[in-house]
Amino acid sequence: MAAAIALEHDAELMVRVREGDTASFTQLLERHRTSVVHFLYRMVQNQAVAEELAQEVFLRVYKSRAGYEPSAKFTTWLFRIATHLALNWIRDNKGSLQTQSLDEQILEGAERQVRDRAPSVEQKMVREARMEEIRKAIRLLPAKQRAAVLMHKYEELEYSQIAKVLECSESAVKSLLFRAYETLRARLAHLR
Amino acid sequence: MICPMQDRENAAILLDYCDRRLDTDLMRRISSHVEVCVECQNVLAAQRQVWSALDAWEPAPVSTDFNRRLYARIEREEAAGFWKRLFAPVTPVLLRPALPVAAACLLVVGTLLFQTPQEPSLGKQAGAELVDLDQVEKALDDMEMLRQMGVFAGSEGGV
Ligand SMILES: [Zn+2]
Repeated sequence: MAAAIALEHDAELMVRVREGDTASFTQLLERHRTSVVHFLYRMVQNQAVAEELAQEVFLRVYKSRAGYEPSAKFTTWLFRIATHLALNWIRDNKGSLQTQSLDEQILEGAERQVRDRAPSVEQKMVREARMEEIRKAIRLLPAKQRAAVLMHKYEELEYSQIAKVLECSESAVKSLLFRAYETLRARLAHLR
Repeated sequence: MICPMQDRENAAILLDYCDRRLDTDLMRRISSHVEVCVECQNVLAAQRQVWSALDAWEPAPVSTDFNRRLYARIEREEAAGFWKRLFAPVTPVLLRPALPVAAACLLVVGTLLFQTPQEPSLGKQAGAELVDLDQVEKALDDMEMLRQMGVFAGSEGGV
């Protein structure tokens, strides 16, 4: 029910953007910026690329405002654009996966931990090694499976939404997800 | 009930069960099955482990200047859109790709005709015009891509 209300609000905002209300675009941006950037980051595993792609997503939303019709969930449309851009980027950058260097990520993780509760160096290293295994497990999934898992796990999109984003049937999404999680279960089984 | 693991088509139901996304009746039926099925118990335990591992993956915060950069980009693109709207009604579709080239030739000729040593900034202005015309072409490509994605009203396969 809460999700339905949120959906109506997004569509309403987008209709206002279509009518020239730029403040509504700012509201949409505030509501979805973090989830879009985080989704893209987990897809491409590079913060700068993720933000660049997210800029492109919102730019395209804004540019297509004149033809917007609230016929489907706004988030489905938003993640369709984001996924399309991420899949293209992954396709074009195959073989030179530009993930952030481990050093950068260790620094990032370490900074966060200092904020948390300043754990020991050993704890930091264990935690970072674990995070790298998780990132790698996701990175090694085929791009479509990766997108499906990220939308399912972090964005909590429904199967029907993921199906529309990936342009396939709901049953295909379910089987895609089950296969992806099967791989993740095998790769991450040793983590406790 | 048939073990979900024996029916690949239906195996994803275990994910929904694990995530408590099913209605009460189905939750109860799967629960009774899981109590007696070691394979399903193992899958569920491993799945919970995967989700708990994924929960720990927290990306960095978004840059504080994200909005500012986006608005600047929108402004640039909107300026390019102005040029597109200006030329669109009078330019047949097939001629549009040639538009930047033709306009560039005009600008070059214009520059050669009117440039004098006292006007060093003219070259810069011509350069700026050329950039805008490139953007016109890019904007046309973007509109075509959006049309293909079906986000425009009345187009097929819109989401
Ligand atoms: Zn079973």
